[in-house]
Amino acid sequence: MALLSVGLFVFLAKESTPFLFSSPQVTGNQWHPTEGTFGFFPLLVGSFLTAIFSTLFSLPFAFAFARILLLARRPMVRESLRVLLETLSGLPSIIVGLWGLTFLVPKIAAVSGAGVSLFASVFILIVMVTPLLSLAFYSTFEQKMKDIATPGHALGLNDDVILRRIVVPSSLRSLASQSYLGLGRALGETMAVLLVCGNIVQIPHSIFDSVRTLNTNIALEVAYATGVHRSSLFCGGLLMLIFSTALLFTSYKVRANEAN
Amino acid sequence: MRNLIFALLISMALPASAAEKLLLTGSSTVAPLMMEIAKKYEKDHPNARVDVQSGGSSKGIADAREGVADLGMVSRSLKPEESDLMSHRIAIDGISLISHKTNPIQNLNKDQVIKIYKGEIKNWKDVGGKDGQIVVINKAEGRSTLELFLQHFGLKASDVKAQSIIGENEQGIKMVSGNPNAVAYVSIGSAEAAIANNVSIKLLDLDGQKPSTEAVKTGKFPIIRDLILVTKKNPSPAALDLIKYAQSAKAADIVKEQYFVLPPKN
Repeated sequence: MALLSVGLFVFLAKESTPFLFSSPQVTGNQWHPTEGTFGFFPLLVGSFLTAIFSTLFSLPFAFAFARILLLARRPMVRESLRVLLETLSGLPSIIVGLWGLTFLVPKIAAVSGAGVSLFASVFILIVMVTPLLSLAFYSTFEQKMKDIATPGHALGLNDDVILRRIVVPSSLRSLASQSYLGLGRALGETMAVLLVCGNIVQIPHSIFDSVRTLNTNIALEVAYATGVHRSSLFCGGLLMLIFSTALLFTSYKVRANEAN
Repeated sequence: MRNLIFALLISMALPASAAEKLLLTGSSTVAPLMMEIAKKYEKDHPNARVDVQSGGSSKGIADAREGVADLGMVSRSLKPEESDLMSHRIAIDGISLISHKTNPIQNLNKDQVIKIYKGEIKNWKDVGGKDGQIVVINKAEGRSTLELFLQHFGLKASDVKAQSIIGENEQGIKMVSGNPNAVAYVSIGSAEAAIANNVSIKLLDLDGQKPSTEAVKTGKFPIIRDLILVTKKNPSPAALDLIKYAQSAKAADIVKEQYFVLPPKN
Protein backbone atom coordinates (compact mmCIF):
# COMPACT_ATOMS: atom_id res chain seq x y z
CA MET A 1 0.00 0.00 0.00
CA ALA A 2 2.80 2.34 0.95
CA LEU A 3 4.60 1.39 -2.24
CA LEU A 4 1.51 2.33 -4.24
CA SER A 5 1.26 5.74 -2.58
CA VAL A 6 4.92 6.47 -3.12
CA GLY A 7 4.56 5.28 -6.71
CA LEU A 8 1.64 7.67 -7.20
CA PHE A 9 3.62 10.55 -5.78
CA VAL A 10 6.59 9.81 -8.03
CA PHE A 11 4.33 9.50 -11.08
CA LEU A 12 2.62 12.85 -10.45
CA ALA A 13 5.94 14.55 -9.73
CA LYS A 14 7.41 13.18 -12.94
CA GLU A 15 4.45 14.35 -15.04
CA SER A 16 4.62 17.79 -13.44
CA THR A 17 8.25 18.42 -14.29
CA PRO A 18 7.73 19.87 -17.79
CA PHE A 19 5.42 22.43 -16.24
CA LEU A 20 7.62 23.20 -13.24
CA PHE A 21 10.73 23.61 -15.33
CA SER A 22 9.09 25.91 -17.85
CA SER A 23 9.22 28.75 -15.28
CA PRO A 24 5.49 29.25 -15.56
CA GLN A 25 3.55 32.36 -14.76
CA VAL A 26 1.81 31.20 -11.58
CA THR A 27 1.18 34.54 -9.93
CA GLY A 28 -1.89 36.55 -10.65
CA ASN A 29 -5.39 35.18 -10.56
CA GLN A 30 -5.88 34.22 -14.19
CA TRP A 31 -5.96 30.66 -15.48
CA HIS A 32 -5.51 30.81 -19.26
CA PRO A 33 -3.16 27.98 -20.15
CA THR A 34 -3.51 28.60 -23.87
CA GLU A 35 -2.09 32.06 -23.22
CA GLY A 36 0.53 30.95 -20.71
CA THR A 37 -0.96 32.12 -17.42
CA PHE A 38 -1.32 29.50 -14.70
CA GLY A 39 -2.70 31.29 -11.65
CA PHE A 40 -3.11 28.50 -9.09
CA PHE A 41 -4.18 30.70 -6.22
CA PRO A 42 -7.93 30.97 -7.06
CA LEU A 43 -7.98 27.19 -7.52
CA LEU A 44 -6.48 26.67 -4.07
CA VAL A 45 -9.01 29.09 -2.62
CA GLY A 46 -11.81 27.23 -4.39
CA SER A 47 -10.69 23.84 -3.07
CA PHE A 48 -10.28 25.05 0.49
CA LEU A 49 -13.46 27.08 0.72
CA THR A 50 -15.65 24.26 -0.61
CA ALA A 51 -14.01 21.61 1.57
CA ILE A 52 -13.81 23.58 4.81
CA PHE A 53 -17.25 25.19 4.66
CA SER A 54 -18.96 21.92 3.82
CA THR A 55 -17.22 19.99 6.60
CA LEU A 56 -17.89 22.73 9.17
CA PHE A 57 -21.57 22.95 8.30
CA SER A 58 -21.92 19.16 8.28
CA LEU A 59 -20.83 18.99 11.92
CA PRO A 60 -24.03 20.24 13.57
CA PHE A 61 -26.10 17.88 11.42
CA ALA A 62 -23.75 14.99 12.19
CA PHE A 63 -24.08 15.65 15.92
CA ALA A 64 -27.85 15.90 15.69
CA PHE A 65 -28.25 12.70 13.68
CA ALA A 66 -25.81 10.77 15.83
CA ARG A 67 -27.73 11.86 18.90
CA ILE A 68 -31.04 10.71 17.41
CA LEU A 69 -29.53 7.36 16.46
CA LEU A 70 -28.32 6.93 20.01
CA LEU A 71 -31.14 8.29 22.10
CA ALA A 72 -34.40 8.12 20.14
CA ARG A 73 -36.96 6.05 22.04
CA ARG A 74 -38.66 4.31 19.17
CA PRO A 75 -36.56 1.67 17.38
CA MET A 76 -38.49 2.52 14.19
CA VAL A 77 -37.07 6.05 14.22
CA ARG A 78 -33.53 4.85 14.87
CA GLU A 79 -33.68 2.14 12.24
CA SER A 80 -35.16 4.28 9.49
CA LEU A 81 -32.67 7.09 10.10
CA ARG A 82 -29.81 4.63 10.07
CA VAL A 83 -30.99 3.10 6.79
CA LEU A 84 -31.47 6.56 5.29
CA LEU A 85 -27.97 7.66 6.28
CA GLU A 86 -26.37 4.45 5.07
CA THR A 87 -28.17 4.74 1.73
CA LEU A 88 -27.15 8.37 1.33
CA SER A 89 -23.54 7.63 2.15
CA GLY A 90 -23.49 4.88 -0.45
CA LEU A 91 -25.07 7.04 -3.14
CA PRO A 92 -22.81 7.58 -6.15
CA SER A 93 -21.70 11.16 -5.88
CA ILE A 94 -22.43 11.90 -9.54
CA ILE A 95 -26.14 11.36 -8.78
CA VAL A 96 -25.98 14.04 -6.11
CA GLY A 97 -24.22 16.25 -8.66
CA LEU A 98 -26.94 15.67 -11.26
CA TRP A 99 -29.62 16.42 -8.69
CA GLY A 100 -27.71 19.59 -7.83
CA LEU A 101 -27.54 20.68 -11.47
CA THR A 102 -31.16 19.92 -12.33
CA PHE A 103 -32.91 20.86 -9.11
CA LEU A 104 -30.72 23.03 -6.89
CA VAL A 105 -28.95 25.26 -9.41
CA PRO A 106 -32.10 26.78 -10.98
CA LYS A 107 -33.42 27.51 -7.48
CA ILE A 108 -30.22 29.33 -6.55
CA ALA A 109 -30.28 31.18 -9.89
CA ALA A 110 -33.68 32.57 -8.91
CA VAL A 111 -32.01 34.17 -5.89
CA SER A 112 -28.79 35.43 -7.43
CA GLY A 113 -26.45 34.89 -10.34
CA ALA A 114 -26.04 31.79 -12.43
CA GLY A 115 -26.96 29.25 -9.82
CA VAL A 116 -23.72 27.38 -10.25
CA SER A 117 -21.77 28.65 -7.29
CA LEU A 118 -19.77 28.14 -4.13
CA PHE A 119 -23.10 27.80 -2.35
CA ALA A 120 -24.26 24.95 -4.60
CA SER A 121 -20.94 23.14 -4.24
CA VAL A 122 -20.97 23.43 -0.45
CA PHE A 123 -24.61 22.31 -0.34
CA ILE A 124 -24.07 19.08 -2.23
CA LEU A 125 -20.86 18.35 -0.32
CA ILE A 126 -22.83 18.69 2.93
CA VAL A 127 -25.31 16.16 1.53
CA MET A 128 -22.42 13.79 0.93
CA VAL A 129 -20.34 14.35 4.05
CA THR A 130 -23.11 14.49 6.68
CA PRO A 131 -24.17 10.82 6.43
CA LEU A 132 -20.54 9.79 6.69
CA LEU A 133 -19.87 11.87 9.78
CA SER A 134 -23.22 11.02 11.37
CA LEU A 135 -22.55 7.30 11.24
CA ALA A 136 -18.94 7.75 12.38
CA PHE A 137 -19.95 9.96 15.31
CA TYR A 138 -22.74 7.54 16.22
CA SER A 139 -20.36 4.60 16.39
CA THR A 140 -17.99 6.62 18.62
CA PHE A 141 -20.82 7.64 20.92
CA GLU A 142 -22.22 4.12 21.04
CA GLN A 143 -18.88 2.68 22.16
CA LYS A 144 -18.42 5.22 24.89
CA MET A 145 -22.04 5.02 25.94
CA LYS A 146 -21.86 1.27 26.44
CA ASP A 147 -19.14 1.68 29.06
CA ILE A 148 -20.49 4.73 30.79
CA ALA A 149 -24.26 4.12 30.74
CA THR A 150 -24.55 1.90 33.81
CA PRO A 151 -22.29 3.93 36.11
CA GLY A 152 -23.97 7.07 34.82
CA HIS A 153 -27.46 5.77 35.58
CA ALA A 154 -26.28 4.68 39.00
CA LEU A 155 -25.37 8.29 39.65
CA GLY A 156 -28.89 9.32 38.70
CA LEU A 157 -28.01 10.88 35.35
CA ASN A 158 -30.24 10.42 32.33
CA ASP A 159 -28.93 9.46 28.89
CA ASP A 160 -29.12 12.95 27.46
CA VAL A 161 -26.92 14.42 30.18
CA ILE A 162 -24.51 11.48 29.95
CA LEU A 163 -24.17 12.10 26.24
CA ARG A 164 -23.73 15.84 26.48
CA ARG A 165 -21.60 16.12 29.57
CA ILE A 166 -19.52 12.95 29.53
CA VAL A 167 -19.46 11.10 26.23
CA VAL A 168 -19.01 14.03 23.88
CA PRO A 169 -16.31 15.88 25.82
CA SER A 170 -14.31 12.68 26.25
CA SER A 171 -14.49 11.72 22.58
CA LEU A 172 -13.41 15.02 21.11
CA ARG A 173 -10.17 13.68 19.72
CA SER A 174 -11.94 10.78 18.02
CA LEU A 175 -14.55 13.11 16.61
CA ALA A 176 -11.86 15.49 15.38
CA SER A 177 -10.02 12.65 13.70
CA GLN A 178 -13.24 11.53 11.98
CA SER A 179 -13.97 15.10 10.94
CA TYR A 180 -10.59 15.29 9.24
CA LEU A 181 -11.59 12.26 7.21
CA GLY A 182 -14.85 13.99 6.34
CA LEU A 183 -12.78 16.97 5.22
CA GLY A 184 -10.71 14.62 3.10
CA ARG A 185 -13.87 13.33 1.44
CA ALA A 186 -15.00 16.87 0.70
CA LEU A 187 -11.60 17.82 -0.68
CA GLY A 188 -11.53 14.81 -2.95
CA GLU A 189 -14.99 15.10 -4.46
CA THR A 190 -14.71 16.02 -8.12
CA MET A 191 -17.44 14.99 -10.52
CA ALA A 192 -20.41 16.20 -8.51
CA VAL A 193 -18.77 19.54 -7.73
CA LEU A 194 -17.81 19.89 -11.40
CA LEU A 195 -21.47 20.08 -12.36
CA VAL A 196 -22.51 22.73 -9.86
CA CYS A 197 -19.52 24.94 -9.12
CA GLY A 198 -19.50 27.01 -12.33
CA ASN A 199 -15.82 26.51 -13.00
CA ILE A 200 -14.87 30.16 -13.29
CA VAL A 201 -11.33 30.69 -12.04
CA GLN A 202 -11.75 33.57 -9.63
CA ILE A 203 -11.71 34.42 -5.95
CA PRO A 204 -15.40 34.48 -5.05
CA HIS A 205 -16.75 37.69 -3.53
CA SER A 206 -20.05 36.16 -2.53
CA ILE A 207 -21.25 32.62 -1.88
CA PHE A 208 -23.29 32.92 -5.05
CA ASP A 209 -20.21 33.44 -7.20
CA SER A 210 -18.83 30.63 -9.31
CA VAL A 211 -15.60 28.88 -8.26
CA ARG A 212 -13.23 26.24 -9.58
CA THR A 213 -11.33 23.74 -7.44
CA LEU A 214 -8.05 21.98 -8.21
CA ASN A 215 -9.97 18.75 -8.82
CA THR A 216 -12.62 20.14 -11.12
CA ASN A 217 -9.85 21.92 -13.02
CA ILE A 218 -8.24 18.61 -13.82
CA ALA A 219 -11.50 16.89 -14.73
CA LEU A 220 -12.53 19.78 -16.95
CA GLU A 221 -9.34 20.24 -18.93
CA VAL A 222 -7.39 16.99 -18.98
CA ALA A 223 -9.12 15.55 -22.05
CA TYR A 224 -8.02 18.44 -24.21
CA ALA A 225 -4.77 19.54 -22.62
CA THR A 226 -1.44 18.99 -24.30
CA GLY A 227 2.18 19.74 -23.42
CA VAL A 228 2.79 22.23 -20.63
CA HIS A 229 -0.94 22.69 -20.03
CA ARG A 230 -1.35 18.96 -19.40
CA SER A 231 1.68 18.97 -17.14
CA SER A 232 0.23 21.85 -15.12
CA LEU A 233 -2.85 19.74 -14.41
CA PHE A 234 -0.66 16.95 -13.05
CA CYS A 235 1.00 19.54 -10.87
CA GLY A 236 -2.44 20.43 -9.50
CA GLY A 237 -2.97 16.73 -8.82
CA LEU A 238 0.34 16.59 -7.00
CA LEU A 239 -0.74 19.48 -4.78
CA MET A 240 -3.99 17.65 -3.97
CA LEU A 241 -2.04 14.50 -3.11
CA ILE A 242 0.21 16.43 -0.74
CA PHE A 243 -2.78 18.06 0.97
CA SER A 244 -4.74 14.83 1.39
CA THR A 245 -1.70 13.00 2.72
CA ALA A 246 -1.06 15.80 5.21
CA LEU A 247 -4.70 15.62 6.26
CA LEU A 248 -4.51 11.87 6.73
CA PHE A 249 -1.39 12.14 8.88
CA THR A 250 -3.03 14.81 11.02
CA SER A 251 -6.04 12.58 11.50
CA TYR A 252 -3.88 9.65 12.58
CA LYS A 253 -1.79 11.76 14.91
CA VAL A 254 -4.87 13.12 16.64
CA ARG A 255 -6.22 9.62 17.10
CA ALA A 256 -2.87 8.34 18.34
CA ASN A 257 -2.74 11.13 20.91
CA GLU A 258 -6.09 10.11 22.23
CA ALA A 259 -5.06 6.48 22.60
CA ASN A 260 -2.35 7.66 24.95
CA MET B 1 -14.34 -33.28 -16.69
CA ARG B 2 -11.37 -30.95 -16.35
CA ASN B 3 -10.45 -31.56 -19.98
CA LEU B 4 -13.98 -30.60 -21.04
CA ILE B 5 -13.79 -27.29 -19.17
CA PHE B 6 -10.38 -26.63 -20.63
CA ALA B 7 -11.65 -27.32 -24.14
CA LEU B 8 -14.64 -25.02 -23.58
CA LEU B 9 -12.38 -22.20 -22.40
CA ILE B 10 -10.10 -22.56 -25.39
CA SER B 11 -13.01 -22.59 -27.79
CA MET B 12 -14.38 -19.42 -26.22
CA ALA B 13 -11.06 -17.68 -26.66
CA LEU B 14 -10.57 -18.55 -30.30
CA PRO B 15 -13.36 -16.58 -32.03
CA ALA B 16 -12.28 -13.41 -30.27
CA SER B 17 -8.80 -13.56 -31.72
CA ALA B 18 -10.16 -14.29 -35.17
CA ALA B 19 -12.25 -11.09 -35.19
CA GLU B 20 -11.02 -7.77 -36.52
CA LYS B 21 -10.90 -5.33 -33.63
CA LEU B 22 -10.77 -1.59 -34.18
CA LEU B 23 -10.35 1.07 -31.50
CA LEU B 24 -11.55 4.64 -31.98
CA THR B 25 -10.88 7.42 -29.48
CA GLY B 26 -11.35 11.18 -29.55
CA SER B 27 -13.94 13.90 -29.85
CA SER B 28 -17.02 13.71 -27.65
CA THR B 29 -19.01 15.29 -30.50
CA VAL B 30 -18.06 12.59 -32.99
CA ALA B 31 -18.21 9.66 -30.54
CA PRO B 32 -22.01 9.26 -30.44
CA LEU B 33 -22.10 9.35 -34.25
CA MET B 34 -19.36 6.73 -34.61
CA MET B 35 -20.96 4.56 -31.94
CA GLU B 36 -24.12 4.24 -34.01
CA ILE B 37 -22.17 3.74 -37.24
CA ALA B 38 -20.04 1.10 -35.51
CA LYS B 39 -23.12 -0.79 -34.34
CA LYS B 40 -24.44 -0.95 -37.89
CA TYR B 41 -21.00 -1.89 -39.21
CA GLU B 42 -20.75 -4.78 -36.76
CA LYS B 43 -24.16 -6.03 -37.90
CA ASP B 44 -23.03 -6.02 -41.54
CA HIS B 45 -19.62 -7.50 -40.75
CA PRO B 46 -20.11 -10.29 -38.19
CA ASN B 47 -16.39 -10.74 -37.61
CA ALA B 48 -15.73 -7.12 -36.77
CA ARG B 49 -15.51 -5.55 -33.30
CA VAL B 50 -15.42 -1.78 -33.06
CA ASP B 51 -14.73 -0.04 -29.76
CA VAL B 52 -15.53 3.69 -29.45
CA GLN B 53 -14.28 5.84 -26.56
CA SER B 54 -14.37 9.59 -26.16
CA GLY B 55 -11.69 11.68 -24.44
CA GLY B 56 -11.41 14.76 -26.62
CA SER B 57 -10.15 15.66 -30.09
CA SER B 58 -6.58 16.10 -28.81
CA LYS B 59 -6.62 12.58 -27.39
CA GLY B 60 -7.91 11.27 -30.73
CA ILE B 61 -4.98 12.84 -32.54
CA ALA B 62 -2.41 11.70 -29.97
CA ASP B 63 -3.74 8.14 -29.91
CA ALA B 64 -3.87 7.84 -33.70
CA ARG B 65 -0.34 9.20 -33.96
CA GLU B 66 1.06 6.71 -31.46
CA GLY B 67 -0.92 3.78 -32.79
CA VAL B 68 -2.80 3.39 -29.50
CA ALA B 69 -6.03 3.78 -31.46
CA ASP B 70 -6.69 2.63 -35.00
CA LEU B 71 -8.69 5.77 -35.75
CA GLY B 72 -8.91 9.13 -34.03
CA MET B 73 -12.14 11.13 -33.94
CA VAL B 74 -11.64 14.87 -34.26
CA SER B 75 -14.20 17.69 -34.40
CA ARG B 76 -12.11 20.13 -36.44
CA SER B 77 -9.82 20.10 -39.47
CA LEU B 78 -6.20 19.14 -38.95
CA LYS B 79 -3.69 21.90 -38.28
CA PRO B 80 -0.51 22.28 -40.37
CA GLU B 81 1.59 20.71 -37.63
CA GLU B 82 -0.63 17.62 -37.82
CA SER B 83 0.16 16.87 -41.45
CA ASP B 84 1.75 13.56 -40.46
CA LEU B 85 -1.82 12.23 -40.21
CA MET B 86 -4.45 11.49 -42.84
CA SER B 87 -7.87 13.02 -42.42
CA HIS B 88 -11.17 11.49 -43.60
CA ARG B 89 -14.23 13.70 -43.37
CA ILE B 90 -17.46 12.02 -42.34
CA ALA B 91 -19.77 14.92 -41.54
CA ILE B 92 -20.07 18.65 -41.01
CA ASP B 93 -21.33 20.30 -37.86
CA GLY B 94 -22.09 23.88 -36.96
CA ILE B 95 -21.79 25.81 -33.71
CA SER B 96 -24.65 28.00 -32.67
CA LEU B 97 -25.67 30.15 -29.74
CA ILE B 98 -28.56 28.82 -27.71
CA SER B 99 -30.85 30.40 -25.18
CA HIS B 100 -33.80 29.33 -23.09
CA LYS B 101 -37.01 28.63 -25.00
CA THR B 102 -38.84 31.50 -23.29
CA ASN B 103 -36.28 34.17 -24.19
CA PRO B 104 -37.99 36.68 -26.54
CA ILE B 105 -34.71 37.38 -28.35
CA GLN B 106 -34.50 35.54 -31.65
CA ASN B 107 -31.34 36.99 -33.21
CA LEU B 108 -27.97 38.32 -32.15
CA ASN B 109 -25.47 40.26 -34.29
CA LYS B 110 -21.79 39.46 -34.32
CA ASP B 111 -21.12 42.71 -32.48
CA GLN B 112 -23.69 41.94 -29.78
CA VAL B 113 -22.25 38.45 -29.23
CA ILE B 114 -18.76 39.89 -28.83
CA LYS B 115 -19.96 42.48 -26.34
CA ILE B 116 -22.00 39.93 -24.37
CA TYR B 117 -19.10 37.52 -24.11
CA LYS B 118 -16.71 40.31 -23.16
CA GLY B 119 -19.07 41.34 -20.39
CA GLU B 120 -19.73 44.77 -21.91
CA ILE B 121 -23.43 44.07 -22.43
CA LYS B 122 -24.76 42.67 -19.17
CA ASN B 123 -28.51 42.75 -19.45
CA TRP B 124 -30.92 41.20 -21.93
CA LYS B 125 -32.81 44.50 -22.18
CA ASP B 126 -29.74 46.09 -23.79
CA VAL B 127 -30.25 43.83 -26.80
CA GLY B 128 -34.01 44.28 -26.90
CA GLY B 129 -35.10 41.56 -24.52
CA LYS B 130 -36.61 41.36 -21.05
CA ASP B 131 -34.82 42.84 -18.07
CA GLY B 132 -32.48 40.21 -16.67
CA GLN B 133 -28.79 39.73 -16.09
CA ILE B 134 -27.26 37.70 -18.90
CA VAL B 135 -25.74 34.47 -17.61
CA VAL B 136 -22.85 33.85 -20.00
CA ILE B 137 -21.73 30.26 -20.39
CA ASN B 138 -18.35 29.56 -21.95
CA LYS B 139 -16.48 26.37 -22.82
CA ALA B 140 -13.32 25.17 -21.09
CA GLU B 141 -9.99 26.01 -22.68
CA GLY B 142 -8.52 23.52 -25.08
CA ARG B 143 -11.90 22.46 -26.48
CA SER B 144 -12.22 22.76 -30.26
CA THR B 145 -15.70 24.32 -29.92
CA LEU B 146 -14.20 27.17 -27.89
CA GLU B 147 -11.34 27.62 -30.37
CA LEU B 148 -13.74 27.89 -33.29
CA PHE B 149 -16.00 30.30 -31.40
CA LEU B 150 -13.10 32.58 -30.42
CA GLN B 151 -11.67 32.46 -33.93
CA HIS B 152 -14.95 33.46 -35.57
CA PHE B 153 -15.59 36.34 -33.20
CA GLY B 154 -11.99 37.50 -33.05
CA LEU B 155 -11.71 37.03 -29.28
CA LYS B 156 -8.92 35.81 -27.04
CA ALA B 157 -9.66 33.30 -24.29
CA SER B 158 -8.83 35.91 -21.64
CA ASP B 159 -11.28 38.41 -23.19
CA VAL B 160 -14.27 36.32 -22.21
CA LYS B 161 -16.05 37.16 -18.97
CA ALA B 162 -18.39 34.30 -18.22
CA GLN B 163 -20.55 33.28 -15.28
CA SER B 164 -20.01 29.58 -15.82
CA ILE B 165 -17.67 27.31 -17.70
CA ILE B 166 -18.74 23.92 -18.99
CA GLY B 167 -17.05 20.97 -20.58
CA GLU B 168 -19.39 18.91 -22.74
CA ASN B 169 -22.15 20.22 -25.05
CA GLU B 170 -24.72 18.39 -22.91
CA GLN B 171 -23.72 20.28 -19.80
CA GLY B 172 -24.24 23.58 -21.58
CA ILE B 173 -27.65 22.49 -22.83
CA LYS B 174 -28.64 21.38 -19.34
CA MET B 175 -27.61 24.70 -17.83
CA VAL B 176 -29.42 26.80 -20.43
CA SER B 177 -32.60 24.75 -20.14
CA GLY B 178 -32.64 25.48 -16.40
CA ASN B 179 -32.04 29.24 -16.59
CA PRO B 180 -34.19 31.71 -18.60
CA ASN B 181 -31.33 34.22 -18.66
CA ALA B 182 -28.59 31.93 -19.89
CA VAL B 183 -26.77 31.93 -23.21
CA ALA B 184 -24.24 29.38 -24.44
CA TYR B 185 -22.77 28.02 -27.68
CA VAL B 186 -22.89 24.35 -28.55
CA SER B 187 -22.77 21.97 -31.50
CA ILE B 188 -25.89 22.46 -33.64
CA GLY B 189 -26.28 18.69 -33.85
CA SER B 190 -26.49 18.25 -30.11
CA ALA B 191 -28.83 21.26 -29.74
CA GLU B 192 -31.27 20.02 -32.37
CA ALA B 193 -31.25 16.54 -30.85
CA ALA B 194 -32.10 18.06 -27.47
CA ILE B 195 -34.88 20.21 -28.93
CA ALA B 196 -36.34 17.10 -30.54
CA ASN B 197 -36.38 15.64 -27.03
CA ASN B 198 -38.38 18.61 -25.73
CA VAL B 199 -35.52 20.23 -23.82
CA SER B 200 -36.35 23.92 -23.19
CA ILE B 201 -33.74 25.58 -25.36
CA LYS B 202 -33.76 27.25 -28.74
CA LEU B 203 -31.16 28.13 -31.32
CA LEU B 204 -30.45 31.82 -31.87
CA ASP B 205 -29.96 33.30 -35.32
CA LEU B 206 -26.61 34.91 -36.01
CA ASP B 207 -26.68 38.15 -38.06
CA GLY B 208 -30.12 37.11 -39.30
CA GLN B 209 -28.92 33.69 -40.42
CA LYS B 210 -30.84 30.73 -39.01
CA PRO B 211 -28.49 27.98 -37.77
CA SER B 212 -30.27 25.07 -39.40
CA THR B 213 -28.61 21.96 -40.82
CA GLU B 214 -29.77 23.27 -44.22
CA ALA B 215 -27.82 26.52 -43.75
CA VAL B 216 -24.77 24.54 -42.65
CA LYS B 217 -25.00 22.35 -45.73
CA THR B 218 -25.20 25.27 -48.15
CA GLY B 219 -22.45 27.11 -46.30
CA LYS B 220 -24.76 30.03 -45.46
CA PHE B 221 -24.15 29.56 -41.76
CA PRO B 222 -20.63 30.75 -40.98
CA ILE B 223 -19.49 28.81 -37.93
CA ILE B 224 -18.96 25.29 -39.17
CA ARG B 225 -16.42 22.55 -38.64
CA ASP B 226 -15.53 19.23 -40.19
CA LEU B 227 -16.04 16.03 -38.23
CA ILE B 228 -13.21 13.77 -39.26
CA LEU B 229 -11.55 10.44 -38.63
CA VAL B 230 -7.77 10.54 -38.56
CA THR B 231 -5.26 7.79 -39.21
CA LYS B 232 -1.53 7.48 -39.79
CA LYS B 233 -0.43 7.77 -43.40
CA ASN B 234 -0.76 3.99 -43.95
CA PRO B 235 -3.94 2.80 -42.25
CA SER B 236 -4.81 -0.88 -42.01
CA PRO B 237 -7.30 -2.36 -44.49
CA ALA B 238 -9.77 -2.89 -41.63
CA ALA B 239 -9.58 0.79 -40.69
CA LEU B 240 -9.98 1.89 -44.32
CA ASP B 241 -13.01 -0.37 -44.60
CA LEU B 242 -14.70 1.29 -41.62
CA ILE B 243 -13.87 4.75 -42.98
CA LYS B 244 -15.37 3.90 -46.38
CA TYR B 245 -18.45 2.57 -44.60
CA ALA B 246 -18.80 5.74 -42.53
CA GLN B 247 -18.56 7.86 -45.68
CA SER B 248 -21.00 5.71 -47.64
CA ALA B 249 -24.74 5.90 -48.11
CA LYS B 250 -25.13 3.18 -45.46
CA ALA B 251 -24.08 5.64 -42.75
CA ALA B 252 -25.88 8.64 -44.25
CA ASP B 253 -29.10 8.00 -42.33
CA ILE B 254 -27.24 7.88 -39.05
CA VAL B 255 -25.48 11.17 -39.79
CA LYS B 256 -28.83 12.81 -40.50
CA GLU B 257 -30.47 11.25 -37.42
CA GLN B 258 -27.88 12.92 -35.23
CA TYR B 259 -28.55 16.27 -36.90
CA PHE B 260 -25.17 16.49 -38.54
CA VAL B 261 -24.70 17.40 -42.18
CA LEU B 262 -23.35 15.11 -44.87
CA PRO B 263 -20.33 16.53 -46.63
CA PRO B 264 -21.10 17.59 -50.22
CA LYS B 265 -20.20 14.97 -52.81
CA ASN B 266 -16.95 16.01 -54.46
